[in-house]
Amino acid sequence: MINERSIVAGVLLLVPLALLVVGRAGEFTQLAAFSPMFFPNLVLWCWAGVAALSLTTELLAGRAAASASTGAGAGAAGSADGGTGDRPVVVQLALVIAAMAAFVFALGELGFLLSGIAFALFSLRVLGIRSWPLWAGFGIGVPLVLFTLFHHGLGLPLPTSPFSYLF
Amino acid sequence: MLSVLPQAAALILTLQGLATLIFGTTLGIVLGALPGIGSTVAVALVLPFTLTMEQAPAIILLLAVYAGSVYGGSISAILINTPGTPAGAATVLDGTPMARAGRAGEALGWATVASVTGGLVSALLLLFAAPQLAAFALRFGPIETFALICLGLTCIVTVSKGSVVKGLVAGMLGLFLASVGGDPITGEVRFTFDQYQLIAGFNLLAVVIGIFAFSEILIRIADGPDAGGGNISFSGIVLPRLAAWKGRVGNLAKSTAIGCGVGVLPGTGSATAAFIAYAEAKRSSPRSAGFGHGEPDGIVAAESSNNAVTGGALVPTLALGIPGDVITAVMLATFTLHGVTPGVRLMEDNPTLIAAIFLGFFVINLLLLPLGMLVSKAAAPLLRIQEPLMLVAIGLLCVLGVYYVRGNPFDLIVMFGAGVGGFFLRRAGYPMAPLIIGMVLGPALELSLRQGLIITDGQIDQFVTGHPIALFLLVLTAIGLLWPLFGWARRTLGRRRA
Repeated sequence: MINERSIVAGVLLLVPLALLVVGRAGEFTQLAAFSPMFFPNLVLWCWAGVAALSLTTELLAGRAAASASTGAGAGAAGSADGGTGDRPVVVQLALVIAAMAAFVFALGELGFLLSGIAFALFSLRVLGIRSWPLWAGFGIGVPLVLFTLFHHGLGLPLPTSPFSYLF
Repeated sequence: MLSVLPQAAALILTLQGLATLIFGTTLGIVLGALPGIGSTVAVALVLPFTLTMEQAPAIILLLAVYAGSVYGGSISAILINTPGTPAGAATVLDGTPMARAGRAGEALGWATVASVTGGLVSALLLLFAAPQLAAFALRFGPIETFALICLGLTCIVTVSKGSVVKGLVAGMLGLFLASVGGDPITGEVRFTFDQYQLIAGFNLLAVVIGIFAFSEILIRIADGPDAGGGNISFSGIVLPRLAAWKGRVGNLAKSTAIGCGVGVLPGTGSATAAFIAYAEAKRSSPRSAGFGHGEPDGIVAAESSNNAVTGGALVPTLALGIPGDVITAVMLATFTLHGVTPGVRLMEDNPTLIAAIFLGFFVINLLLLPLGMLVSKAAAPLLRIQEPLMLVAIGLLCVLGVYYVRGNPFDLIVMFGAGVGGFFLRRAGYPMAPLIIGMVLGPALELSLRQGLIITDGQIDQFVTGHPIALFLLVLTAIGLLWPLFGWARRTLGRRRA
C-alpha cells in the first residue's frame, strides 16, 4: 500500500544510494582513514541500511492497514482538512511556503522591511485574518518594529531596499 | 583563587555591577526566548555595545547574556515548541507535551529550578575546581573523544519516539549533513555540488531554525487550529513543591554532573550534554514510560545539564583557550576583543579578573530564578495572541535570526529547505531531535575517529587497548544501545509467562 509515509521512506532510501554513486565519481585521496570519503561513505551505507528497514516497515504497515480497514481513506498523520482559515489546508500550506520562498529570495532585492511586510500581509490573509486594522497593523507594525530595532536602534545592518538606505 | 575573592567582590557587588548583571541576565533571557535568536546571536548582538565599557563589567555583561539566553531557550521550547537555542531541543521533548496538557507554568517551574541548580553548581565548579578540571580535560585525546561522542549518539535511540528505526534514519541524515563541505583532515570538499557556500558545510543554526521553527509553522497549519500550541494557557511559573522533588533529586544531581563534565570537554557543548543527560534520565528513571509525554524528569535532566555546561564550558575556554562549544567560541573572541587572552597563564596573570568572572557567574545564576519568573510572566500575553499572528511573527524571526548571524542569504535557503524537508519528515513520523544530534556530534565524531585511526595506523581494536577511559565510555555506549533490547526482551518474556 503506497501512502505518504512510504513515499517519504522510499525517498530517504534513494537519496543515500544516489549520494554513494555521486561520491564514487569524485577523485579523492584514497588511503582508507585518510580518504575524505571514508566517513561520509560509512554514514551513507548505514543510512541506506536503516532506510531500507524503515521502508519495509512502512510497506508492511500500509498493507496491514489496508487489509484491516475497508475504505477508511485515512492516509497519513495529519490529514489535510484542517487549516487556520477558511481555505483548504493544502492551499494554505502551498501559499505560505511560496510566501516564505519569495521572502527569502526578495530579501536581498527589496530589503528586510518591504519584503517582510509583503510576507506578513500575504500570510496573514492566507491564514484567515479578516480584521483589516489587525491585518494592516500587525502586518506592517511587526516588520517595522523589528527592522527599526535591529537596523536603526542596535545599528546591526539588515538589507535595505533600492529606494532608500533608510528602509 | 580564594585569596582574591574580596577584591573580585568589590568589582561585582557595586550598584553599577549589580545593575549590569540584572540588565544582562534579563536581556539574555528575552533574547534566548525568541525563536531563532539563541545564545550565539544574543552574545554577538550585545558584543559591539560592550567594547566601550570597562573590561570586567563588559565581560560580566556578556556572561549574563550567555547564561540568561541558555535559560531563556527553555521558555520558547516549552511554550511554543520552538527551542530558542539548540540546547533547548531536549527540553521540547517533555516541556511542550506538559504545556499542552495545561501545565505550562509547572513545566517552566521545573525548568527554572533545574536551570538555576545546574548553573549554580557549575559556577561553584568554576570557582573551586577549574584548574584541576582543566588538567583532567587535557587527558582526552581523539580516541577518548570518539568514545564520548559514541556515548552521546546513543541518545538517538532514547529520543526516538515511536520508531527507533526512523530515529536512526534521521540521525544518519544529520551525520551526513554534518560531513558536507571541507574534509577536516585533507581539506578536500565533499558533496558541495559546485556550490562554494557549502564548502563550510551547512549552517547548524539555519538547519535548527528550519526544522524546528519554520516546519512548526507548516505543521500547525496542516494540523489545524486546534492542534497547535496556541491553546497553551500560562499565567506564570509554578515552582515545584518540595514533596514533588522526592525521587528526582538524584536525577537533578546526575544531570548537573553530566552537564559540568561534558561542558569541560572541548568541542562538545550544551546540546550534547542535554541529550546525554536526557538519555541517562530516561534509562534510569522509574517514570521512564512518561518521557516524551510531559515527564518533569525529562525537563529537569535537559535544563540542569545544559545550564551546567555554561560554567563547565568556560573552564577550557579560559584555562586552555579551547572553546567548549559554539557559544564559548564567541565568548573566546569576546575575551580577546576586551584584551584578555585566554590560556594557561590567564589565571596566574589576572587572578582578580578571573575571580570576578567566576563570582559574577554565580550571582547571574542566582538572578535567574527571580528574573526568570518575571520575564516569563511578561511573555504570557504573547501566547494569547491569535495563532496566525504568532505564526507570521515566528516566520519573520526565522528569517531575521538566520540572516543576522552571518548575513549570508544562502543560510536562508538552507533554513527554507530544512523547514520544508522537516515538515514532510515530521508528518511521516521521523523525529527531528536525532537529526540535530547527528549534526551537532558529526564533525567531532568524524575528526576524532579519523585522528584515532591515524594514531593507531588504522587498527580500530587499539581504540580500547591502552585507553581505559575510552574503554569505559564504549562499554557505557554498548549498555545504552542494548538497554532497550533488554527491556523489550523482559517485557516479551513477562507477557509469555502471563
